[in-house]
Amino acid sequence: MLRLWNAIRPYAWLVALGVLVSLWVFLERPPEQRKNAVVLRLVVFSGERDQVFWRLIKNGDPKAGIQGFETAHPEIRLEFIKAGEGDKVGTMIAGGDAPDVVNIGAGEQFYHYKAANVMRDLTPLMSDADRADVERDFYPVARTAMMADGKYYALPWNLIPFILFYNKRVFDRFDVPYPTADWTWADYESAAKKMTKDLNGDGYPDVFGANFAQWQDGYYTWIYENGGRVVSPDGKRITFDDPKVVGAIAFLHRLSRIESVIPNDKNRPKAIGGQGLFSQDKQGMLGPFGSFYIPQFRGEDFKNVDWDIAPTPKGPTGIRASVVATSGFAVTSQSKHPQQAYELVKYLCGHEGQAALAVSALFVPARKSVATNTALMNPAGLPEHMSAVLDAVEKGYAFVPPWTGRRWGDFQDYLNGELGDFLFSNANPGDTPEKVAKRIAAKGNAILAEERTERAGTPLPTGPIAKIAMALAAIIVAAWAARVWVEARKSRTRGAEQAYGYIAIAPWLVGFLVFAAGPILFSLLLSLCRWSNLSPPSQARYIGLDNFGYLLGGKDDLFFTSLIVTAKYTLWAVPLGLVAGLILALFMNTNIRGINWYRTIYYLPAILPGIATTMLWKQMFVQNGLLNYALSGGGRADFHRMPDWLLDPRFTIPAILIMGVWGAGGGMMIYLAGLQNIPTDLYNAAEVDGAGGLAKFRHVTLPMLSPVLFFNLVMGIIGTFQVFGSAFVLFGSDGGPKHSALFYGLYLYRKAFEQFDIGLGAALAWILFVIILAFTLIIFKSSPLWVYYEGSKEGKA
Amino acid sequence: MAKPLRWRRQVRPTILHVILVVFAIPILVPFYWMLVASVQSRDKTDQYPPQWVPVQTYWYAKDANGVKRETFPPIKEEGRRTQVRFLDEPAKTWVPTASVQKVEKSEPRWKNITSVFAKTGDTSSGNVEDAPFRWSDIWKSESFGRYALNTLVIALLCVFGQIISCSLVAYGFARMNFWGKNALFMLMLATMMIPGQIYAIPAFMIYRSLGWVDTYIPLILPAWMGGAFFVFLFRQFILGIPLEMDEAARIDGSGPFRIWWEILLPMARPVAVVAGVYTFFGAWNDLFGPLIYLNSDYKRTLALALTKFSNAYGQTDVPSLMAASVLMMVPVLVIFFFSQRALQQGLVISGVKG
Repeated sequence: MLRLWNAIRPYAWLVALGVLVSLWVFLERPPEQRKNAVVLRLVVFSGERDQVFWRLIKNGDPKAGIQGFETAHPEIRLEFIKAGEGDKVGTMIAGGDAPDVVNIGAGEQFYHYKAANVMRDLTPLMSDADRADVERDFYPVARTAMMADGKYYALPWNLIPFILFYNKRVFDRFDVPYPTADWTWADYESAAKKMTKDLNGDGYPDVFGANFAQWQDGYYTWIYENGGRVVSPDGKRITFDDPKVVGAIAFLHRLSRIESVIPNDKNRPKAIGGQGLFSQDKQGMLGPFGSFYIPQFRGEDFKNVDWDIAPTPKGPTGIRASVVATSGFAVTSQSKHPQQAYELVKYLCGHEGQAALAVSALFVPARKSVATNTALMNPAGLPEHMSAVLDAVEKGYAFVPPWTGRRWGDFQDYLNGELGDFLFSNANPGDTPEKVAKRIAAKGNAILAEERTERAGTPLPTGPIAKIAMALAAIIVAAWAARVWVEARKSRTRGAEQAYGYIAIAPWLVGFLVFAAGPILFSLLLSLCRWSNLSPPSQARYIGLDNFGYLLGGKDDLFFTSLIVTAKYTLWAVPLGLVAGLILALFMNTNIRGINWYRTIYYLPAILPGIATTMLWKQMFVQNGLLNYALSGGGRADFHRMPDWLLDPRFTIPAILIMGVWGAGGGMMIYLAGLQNIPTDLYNAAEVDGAGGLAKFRHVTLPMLSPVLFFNLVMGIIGTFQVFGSAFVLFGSDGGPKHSALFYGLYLYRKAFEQFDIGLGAALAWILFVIILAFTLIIFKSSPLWVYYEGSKEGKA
Repeated sequence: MAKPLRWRRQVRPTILHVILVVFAIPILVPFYWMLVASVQSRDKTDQYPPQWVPVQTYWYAKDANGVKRETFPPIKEEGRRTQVRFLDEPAKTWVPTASVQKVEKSEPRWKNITSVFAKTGDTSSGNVEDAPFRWSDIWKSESFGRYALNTLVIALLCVFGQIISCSLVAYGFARMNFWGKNALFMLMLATMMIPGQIYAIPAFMIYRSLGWVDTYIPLILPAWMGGAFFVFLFRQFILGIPLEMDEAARIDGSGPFRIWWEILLPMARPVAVVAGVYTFFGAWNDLFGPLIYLNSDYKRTLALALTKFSNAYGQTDVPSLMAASVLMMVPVLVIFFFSQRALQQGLVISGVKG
């Protein structure tokens, strides 16, 4: 046995590799494969209720009377791509690997997809009967949201109107009559006033009258009810300074800051967002708010809440409005099976698909015949006045939020930020509704003007460019090879060594040429273009240095915000990391018993999967989480008075710093290695000279360790400038409250993958590279002043 | 100037122990909470003050026949009646409020762990535990067991690739003399500074044109092409090995690649451990690569699956998420504990000097 082992031992690695490769091949094999099937790939979201829907579609459900799509179309096989992430779909489309069918939201997404020609025009695929059916049975607001230039680019699927949720128990408690369909703003206001109560006399209300959606759709609803409009009818001007818009803002301001019936920074220093207070019977009304909370409130988690819904209250002149978010299914232009893909879209948006939507209780189906079927929509009779949801679409006061132009997202960001500051915190004490509205309008018009003056750009001759690039690359490689050959000719031994050398570095060299040099040059080219990664590269337009001009010319507030955030973080995180790591290493550099255990413990946070530890911290950072419990000395202070790490803009950067210090063990290992490289003679010599502990540290440890410090400094700065993962998990791509943690990496991601502006994203990446390079060079140049290299120039990388 | 012996032998180590233990607490407590949360019942994870032991709540009520049975939490109360729903019974019933009983037991809910192991993590609340757990489900196409195997195979292939390619490239840079060597070496170090975002889209287009999207190749291949940092470590190490070793082997008739494979690579074992372990961690934890390149469910990696615990509304199933995180951490922990000394040694020997 032993002899056998000895014989195969040298090849054990080969056996292991073989096993791994065969496992690999096995794992890549699809579990079941039907031959000769048309494969349709569709992107689906992966939330729980979405899962229910897709299961119903795939397998059918006898109760709902649905036959699965695959049963009805045996020649088609569905492949589900689970991705809610914009970057995933964007990258697939850009790479020419688009799925056949995509779910598409009205407004922003529809605009970008239409502009980039992602969606196929469905009109030619529709039969007359299809058309008639679509026009008859779909709510007009949903249908028109999926149309452009009179053509169907998608079929509508679902609707999410804004409604008013109310908590019956709170209403009963203060003897306030429930909201009705006749309610006006005045009723809303007086009810909210009656229900806002400071019960324990601490000066803060314990029950609030109301809260409403604090994002653009919520504000639009109020503005429309007051008769105002955000954009002029021709879509060319922002009319946010209109007196009717100002009136709506003034009303909201009165509710929040004067009457204090809505949780804000002043009356409730740390507000609980969303449905938190509402479901705890501490808030009477939630609305106008998206009806997407209905399936949630029906669920197990909210079974103790006694709630119902009503239509949005009417404005002062009797106008009612409700924003409707709607989405549909589109066939991509890249799809190779448009006819079958259209069949799938028709099925998903047909009676069967819509019935599945109703059963899964995901949202409201866009089809009248299904949406009004109470047995499907509301079998348990919860909420009681379910009709309030459909009122908006049935009675025709629903509207799709406006969307005009490529940079509309920037305008919405600005609007949300300004109104959030004005209505819920006290950022600019001198502000009035007029001033705020004027600022928002001015900003919006500046953004629109900026977009109008954008250079159209010239098409990139991609073919010739590719050829020239290839030719140039070939010339460089050939010239390099010739030079090496000349060198090799000088003597036989040297010739062999040239060849061996290049063979040895071949893995890196090939990788560099194909997967690094090419992409780097390509992205440099992209930074000079306007290109949406939803369209093929041939759609890219050369616009010179406009991207850089736009960013550096101060036209983009968020760019500077992200620079400042990143700089602030670097300024704190790098020194903190250096010092904490060094102190830890000094403690660890002993031989006391159990030191291995200590080292493992302190190093844990650095090696454990970042995604897992960040998820853990996300749980601890919540206001009633572990961190505040510890900081308040074991819960001695009310957690409402403690920092709300993830939702309060003042604490987002400190939060991510705390997480960083917790993981400071990462740098420790390298310091430890450095410490162990210091010869003990030096310490002995210092002791002979009469040096104490501090003197030894100052005159031996620090100088000997300076190269390691240097290394960690450079790596630290490179790292902090590229922060992405942890911030993305903690704060999402908009960088948390008021963009207070909008790191450069997040901003880049947002521009390139969420707003599909790859050219600008590439420009951002290059600016980042230049910044990092500059810092690294400065550190390198200054290093002779403070870095001590033992003996020679050796080791200077 | 030497301190008294007693100071060195007893007092100093004791002080050190105290300091190290005190500072270990904030590091370990979150992990402890995580362990507790992973076997906690769902309604207890967001309680304040935090729960330090897993607690399960049971509700009982007497049914029409006066038999005490377990129910779901009460639905609503009206006067002296309470509406409840008994386990395994779809309909709601009214029972006397007095018969409703709440019992809390301190016990771990192992079901969290097992159900996570056999499930995809896509279901974000409620139905995760509906299905009975079967060990055979683990190898089904969509489960954490399967994802763990996927991740393991990818990570190990990366480890192989990284060690072989980096040591070979480093050998070329350290031992061979060829024209352009220094320029290429500097170029390699410079690539470390380029932000990854620059590559993402073009690299995807290249892999796509090669037909490699939704395969593991884009995740494994880069490891076989010599990562700059580990090439640097290997080079530093090989520079420290006396040239006489190579000469002796050459006189024995070994070719240059035999010298690399049979002499230098075995000697560079400490660096190989460093490169191997860190590559493993990197591949095990990587999120961006799998996110971009993998489409099929059954090919997912653990990190990717971990992000699916939040649903469309941003709600998270905390116990399942924590259970899955714990499962993902265990292999990393084990590998680190056993390779710790070798890692340390490897870093010392390769002499990271910037």
